[in-house]
Amino acid sequence: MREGDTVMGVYDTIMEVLSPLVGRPAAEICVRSSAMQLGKTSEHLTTADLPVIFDNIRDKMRPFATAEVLNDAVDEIRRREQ
Amino acid sequence: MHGRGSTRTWTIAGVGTVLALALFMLVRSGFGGEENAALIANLPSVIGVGFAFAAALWCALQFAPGESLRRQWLFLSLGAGSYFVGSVVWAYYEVALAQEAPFPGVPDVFYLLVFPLLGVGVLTALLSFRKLFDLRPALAVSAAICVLATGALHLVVGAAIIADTEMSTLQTVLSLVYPIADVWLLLFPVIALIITAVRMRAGTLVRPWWAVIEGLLLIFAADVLFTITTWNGTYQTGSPIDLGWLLGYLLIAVGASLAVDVQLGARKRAA
Repeated sequence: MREGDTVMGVYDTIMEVLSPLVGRPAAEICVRSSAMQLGKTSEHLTTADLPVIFDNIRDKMRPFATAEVLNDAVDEIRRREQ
Repeated sequence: MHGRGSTRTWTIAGVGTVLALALFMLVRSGFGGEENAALIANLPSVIGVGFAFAAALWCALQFAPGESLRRQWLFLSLGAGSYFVGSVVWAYYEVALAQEAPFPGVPDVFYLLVFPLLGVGVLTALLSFRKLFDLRPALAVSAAICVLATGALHLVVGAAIIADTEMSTLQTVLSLVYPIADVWLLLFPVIALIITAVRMRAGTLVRPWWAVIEGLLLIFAADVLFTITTWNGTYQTGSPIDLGWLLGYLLIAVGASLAVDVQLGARKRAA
């Protein structure tokens, strides 16, 4: 993981992984709410923000997604960002 | 991830559709003659819906205890189960006792239970998206449509039911409860779920809910047409309306199987 690296990359990666699962609008909501929580815009998210983003994804999607699906998505985002 | 459905899902859809159509055609053909008419007429709702109930229940139980998805799919499968039990009791009156099922009677207990079970299943599914979307606009639009639907149903059958002096008070109340429950316990959550599912576009996790939506709309349409045609005396056993229930409950089972595919696909492949 490249700490503080690739400003647009993190946003794009998350959108690429989440959109097929929940559609683009819902994926956007997940990313945007994480950014707001961090006091940033979506475009300024970095790999250092991933733990907060993952918590947000789990919190928002857990009621309608199994732990398996969420773990797969989180692992995939982490793998692409390494 | 099995976005297009596993072999199990295609088998449930294929076997269920062939079974539903075969049973439907059997009733229409008049096979078995007058003496077996009651038995043949009851086969679709017992065997067809029984198959859908068993498939949906098996899929619901694949989710871990305590998992919210398990609760959602259990409510929906138990809704199908309640219709199945009601149909078995109905068939018992007509086939074993060779008499007309009473109205109100024991079958109505199970047929009425279908509404809260399906309604709670869809509502809990809908509420599971509340952390992503503000559900109030969807619920408001749905409520507005249901108010119109209630008014329309009142004009088509409700007023005539109330005006009928030959029915007992209990029969009148029950005759009104069915269409009202159809609108407010089925249509209301389904429309709100449609609006929410549209917002999720083609997301894999929402695909199972499209099957459920289609199934519940078929059940709603069959219920309403049954009420109207029974009331104006044009309903006949073997009418295409019967297919609405058969395919409606089958679509719930297909949705449940699709949910297992998309939610537990990785674990199932690893097993």
